[in-house]
Amino acid sequence: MSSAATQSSSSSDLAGILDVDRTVATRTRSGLWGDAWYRLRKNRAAILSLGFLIALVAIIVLAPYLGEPSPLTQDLDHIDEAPSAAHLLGTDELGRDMLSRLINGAQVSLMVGLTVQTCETVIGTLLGLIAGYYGGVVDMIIMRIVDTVYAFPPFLFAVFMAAILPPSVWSIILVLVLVSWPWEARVTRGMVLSLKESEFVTSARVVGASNWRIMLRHILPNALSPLIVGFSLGIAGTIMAESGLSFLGIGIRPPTPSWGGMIDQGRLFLRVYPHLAIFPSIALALTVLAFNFLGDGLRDALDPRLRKD
Amino acid sequence: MSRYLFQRLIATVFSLFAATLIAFLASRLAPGDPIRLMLGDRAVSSQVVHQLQQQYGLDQPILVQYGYFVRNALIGDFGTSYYYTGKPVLEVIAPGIWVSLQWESLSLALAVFGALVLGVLSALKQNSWLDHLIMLFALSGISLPSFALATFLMVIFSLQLGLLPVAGLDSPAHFILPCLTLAAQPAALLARLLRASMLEVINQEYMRTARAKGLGEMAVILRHGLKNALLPSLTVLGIMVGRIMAGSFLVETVFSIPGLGRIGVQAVVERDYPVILGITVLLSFAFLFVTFVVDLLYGFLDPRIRYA
Repeated sequence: MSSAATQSSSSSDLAGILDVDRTVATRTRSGLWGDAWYRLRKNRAAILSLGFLIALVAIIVLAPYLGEPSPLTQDLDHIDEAPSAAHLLGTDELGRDMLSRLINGAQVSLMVGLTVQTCETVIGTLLGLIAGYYGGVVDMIIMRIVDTVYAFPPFLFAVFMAAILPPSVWSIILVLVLVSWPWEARVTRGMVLSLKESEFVTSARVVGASNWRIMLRHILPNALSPLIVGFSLGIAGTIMAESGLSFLGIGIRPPTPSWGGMIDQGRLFLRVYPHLAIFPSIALALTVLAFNFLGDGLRDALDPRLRKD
Repeated sequence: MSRYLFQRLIATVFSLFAATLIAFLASRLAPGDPIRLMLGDRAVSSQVVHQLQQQYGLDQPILVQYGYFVRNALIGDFGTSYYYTGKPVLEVIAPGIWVSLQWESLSLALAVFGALVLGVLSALKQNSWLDHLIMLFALSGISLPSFALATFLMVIFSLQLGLLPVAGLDSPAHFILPCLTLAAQPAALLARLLRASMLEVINQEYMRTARAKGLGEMAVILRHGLKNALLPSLTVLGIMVGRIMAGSFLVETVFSIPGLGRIGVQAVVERDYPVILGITVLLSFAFLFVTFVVDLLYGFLDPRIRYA
């Protein structure tokens, strides 16, 4: 980061001396993150996805003020209704408003996705840093634990743990963190192994920087790109896993609305009221797709070497 | 090669033990006393309960219990089901093994074939509309949860068009929707990877050499291109198998397929911990075995791996 900053400031000095048109130089002054943002902005799918996700968050935040009926209010006079003016997406088998249930489901999914991903990134990154930096026995122990988690087919371990833990949102979050932190640990460890041999780490050590300072201030910032990409893709994976568990009846439990649970419930009425299962399926697919597109876009933006073309 | 084989074998055996230990400990942490669960609603004196505890070794330290579990598991004894009182776990899950093996391997074959066609096509036509379409398809395939995809397919092909059966595995037509659903995600994953590795290979000098010596385009692409591009894809084969196994829990539930996944989900609903444990151990064994074979194949095909 610091090297990029000096580079851009010297290039702007040069622009001043040579009296070159300064508008051309503005972009080079923006640094690593500015450059990444510039590249991301040109990726239509990623920006569209970002817009979709921001809109989704806005809807979730504004939902209580939109005058929609509560997602839990039953209205047995109006069950299984097709979309109408009163209920924009119809009602479910208990007469509950589909739209507000979908919005509530979005809130649950995003909350679980963000919490899990934040926890696993912190845990996985820290353990990966420690394993890669110190090596030896510490590395061996951490990596053996990682291998153990990888010994289960993904999702199967989550099903297994979810079956054992008491049913609550926090159990689901715990389960999903447990099965997914090894990814971050592996990636970070790999980055650390190559970075710790670099000159800037040696020079930091020579000036007397502590191990933690070297890890957090010198190594971590250089390993951030894959972690940021992983964060976006990871939320997609987490939301899929959560909805899968909820679909099987061991994730988010009714009456709390969740997309997976709604699809499971709607399945029973697929023949007569397909919209009950299809609307949550579309919401789920679009959200996961948006996080995946954003992740792909971030990868291309943060690491131009990996660009597809 | 034998050193590499030995290393991989040790690592695999370690993983298997660690995985079974964790699964075992976790299943013992589950709420409810195993004997009580086994007895169901029957009223029994505490003396009998104590006797049963001794009989099942439940009065022993937990690590000793794990030892018993491993010893018994090695001869195929995973204990008895809580739900089907007294029925051996293996008897509960055995019928599902063959069913799952059948339709899941078919799905895997479909996924690999589909990915080969899509990945190569999209690399050859890089940046064309076809390429963009295939990659959009692939990303959607990765993003669409299997049970949501199953719902869409079911509504369209079974309920609206009435072309395909809704549930079960009774005829070849029954296989179409479940296999498509289960294959979609691993196929999309592999197609994206294959495209990337094909693109790397496509501009290599040996490709130009192959063309220069007058080989047909098909032979150049398949024999010189694909063959070299396949190697990195081999590593995701293990991941694909894992996804297929885990995905079967969802897809078998949707299509009412009496395989391991559905038996597992049922066991989860009924809190039948011995069956859950048995299936988990069995599937991680299968998964580790596949990973092991893939590692060996990789080491065999790429000498750089085994001498590293």
